Amino acid sequence: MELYSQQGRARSDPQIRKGRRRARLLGTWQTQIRDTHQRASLLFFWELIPMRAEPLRKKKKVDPKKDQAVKDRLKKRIRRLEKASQELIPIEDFITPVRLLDKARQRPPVELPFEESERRALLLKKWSLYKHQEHEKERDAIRTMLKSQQEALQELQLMSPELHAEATKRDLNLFPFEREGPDYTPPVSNYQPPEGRYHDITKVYTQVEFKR
Amino acid sequence: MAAPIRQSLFGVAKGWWRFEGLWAGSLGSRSLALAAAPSISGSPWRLLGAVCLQRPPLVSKPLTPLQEEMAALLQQIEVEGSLYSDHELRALDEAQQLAKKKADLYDEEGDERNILLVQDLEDAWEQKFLQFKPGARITEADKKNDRTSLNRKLDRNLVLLVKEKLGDQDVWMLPQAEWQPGETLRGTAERTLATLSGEFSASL
Repeated sequence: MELYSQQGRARSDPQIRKGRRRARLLGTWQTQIRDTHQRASLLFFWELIPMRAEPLRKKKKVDPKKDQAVKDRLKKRIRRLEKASQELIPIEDFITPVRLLDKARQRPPVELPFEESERRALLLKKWSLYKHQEHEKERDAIRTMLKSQQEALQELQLMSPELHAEATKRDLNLFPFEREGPDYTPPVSNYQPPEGRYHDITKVYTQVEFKR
Repeated sequence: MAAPIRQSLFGVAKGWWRFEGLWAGSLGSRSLALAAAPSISGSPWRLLGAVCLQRPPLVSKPLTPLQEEMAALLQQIEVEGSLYSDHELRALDEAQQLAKKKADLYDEEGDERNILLVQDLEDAWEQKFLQFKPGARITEADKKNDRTSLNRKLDRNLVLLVKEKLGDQDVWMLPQAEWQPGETLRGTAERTLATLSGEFSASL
């Protein structure tokens, strides 16, 4: 292993070896010459006598063991993190914002007059009856549709089994099925949307899966 | 027909029952019925495949009076069970301040802050809303009763019919084509779709 001095020259460099010998001869007090890069090679290189630095430390042999110990500590920390329960992603809808817990926000309770409460009760009853009838109609419509479909397929089966087999095959293009529902007004043909950029500020949480 | 407008094809193939009249039947699936076809070996039936091309509704149906009442009631109940919003709180504060000013008859220091009253904001919003012109639910085609346009009856499901001659009579019915041996009934329907005149794009 190459040992390097402060200025990055190898210890076994012949010029440094020369400089060391000269240093021993002339004494260490002749050292403060710094512009060594401008000098010729015959002059001493005093950089081997670092007057302002600490004495050179020896490289310790325990280094591989130390590295191993550091790695072990990191692994232990990782294992502890894995064992600890994962932080769950918060559901924003279930957390009431603090500014809504103010008492000043509470509406005063409404006392309904008798007629109003009666009207509401009667309306709710009419509505439930209406929805029940609507549901029955929908169910009957679907039932008749399915029945006619089954009858048709039976007739086809009687007539030509090959066509029937092809008709009862699955259509893979049916799903995933997407359609946008009817709006209140139709789209305007020459609509100019307002200018501006759309900044999406929804918070995205990520849960990191620790795998062993 | 009008310029290319996307339609979705719902039912695929329906047959024509020669003896019983129009088959009122299922949309949304590959339902098949049969008719007379000497092309099928031995059988006296002829097979025709038809296509049911639909324009789904673009606009929701108008509410019945009962539905309107119920919608209003639900809205009322929701408001009664809710908290005050920021806008409402501001309105309440301003009402209080106004009452205080009337009672005290001297100017408060906090006058400079509330130049923009809640009422002004609401008026501005109302103006902005009135500037927007939404599309008409009842279109011109409705008023003229133009049966060839796609823009009519936006709240209903429209089906394409063609007029064809059956024997002596002219009948409005679904576009159909004769089944050819070697193709499925679905293929017949697709062929019918392709042979329809006019520009449109439909997806099966």
